[in-house]
Amino acid sequence: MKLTKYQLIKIKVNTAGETVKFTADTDKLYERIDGMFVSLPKDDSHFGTTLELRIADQEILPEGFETKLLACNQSTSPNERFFHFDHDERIEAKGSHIEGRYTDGGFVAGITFPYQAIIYLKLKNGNENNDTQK
Amino acid sequence: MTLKSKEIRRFVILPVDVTEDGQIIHLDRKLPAHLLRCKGIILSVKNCICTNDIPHLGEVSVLLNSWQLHPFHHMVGFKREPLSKKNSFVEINEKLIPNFTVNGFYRDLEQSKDHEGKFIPYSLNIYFDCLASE
Repeated sequence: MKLTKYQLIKIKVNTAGETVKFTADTDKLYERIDGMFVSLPKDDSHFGTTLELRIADQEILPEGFETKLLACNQSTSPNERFFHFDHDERIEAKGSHIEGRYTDGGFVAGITFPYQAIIYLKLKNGNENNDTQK
Repeated sequence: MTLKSKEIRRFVILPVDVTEDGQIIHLDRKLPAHLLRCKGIILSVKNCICTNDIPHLGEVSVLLNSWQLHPFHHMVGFKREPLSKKNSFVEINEKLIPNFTVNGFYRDLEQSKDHEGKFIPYSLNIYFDCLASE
């Protein structure tokens, strides 16, 4: 049985302060979304940058939610960088429609445009109670 | 914290814009009526103020349920590196009364200055990690 998949959503940001609307669908072969994190090419791009996210018509992140709360620095191991949803909060995957709005924070010093923001989704199958990385 | 059936997680963001040195900003906001419980609070300075860390940028005090509870009083710090090793909400875990307000204040401690001593405006977000009825 397929148990885990890390699905990427890539967002191209052309200019400082730009708002990019995007849509995607989760992989149909997985039951739920366990967690997510946001990766940007330069850490300073997180200043003021926000991500609004809805999955399957459910509000996951409200307007104005800063991406820096969805990311960790390089001293955190990749497996621990994920923002995990509550242990028994079930966010359906199974091909759920994702709608998002990414707004760059406008910080330009040392930032090269365009850049690519990447959202990682951790998709899971099986019983949540078997997970230990909560 | 375990989600009961028909409960969902919701984030509420209270933005604070500081435009004057030493400014005191009163907080007064009605929360959505379907919120049941505030699990935690986290503070985040949105923009990049300067090249140094400022541990005592300001002071925030948060009261819940229209002044009935005073669970949170913290200093707000600015960190030049936008990302932390881990993002954790400060635990509150207080029941919310529908239609009651969040109150309190934010006080700037006159630390946000450029090299000429001129005040630099900034914004911060107060995040409430809540449980809500579906």
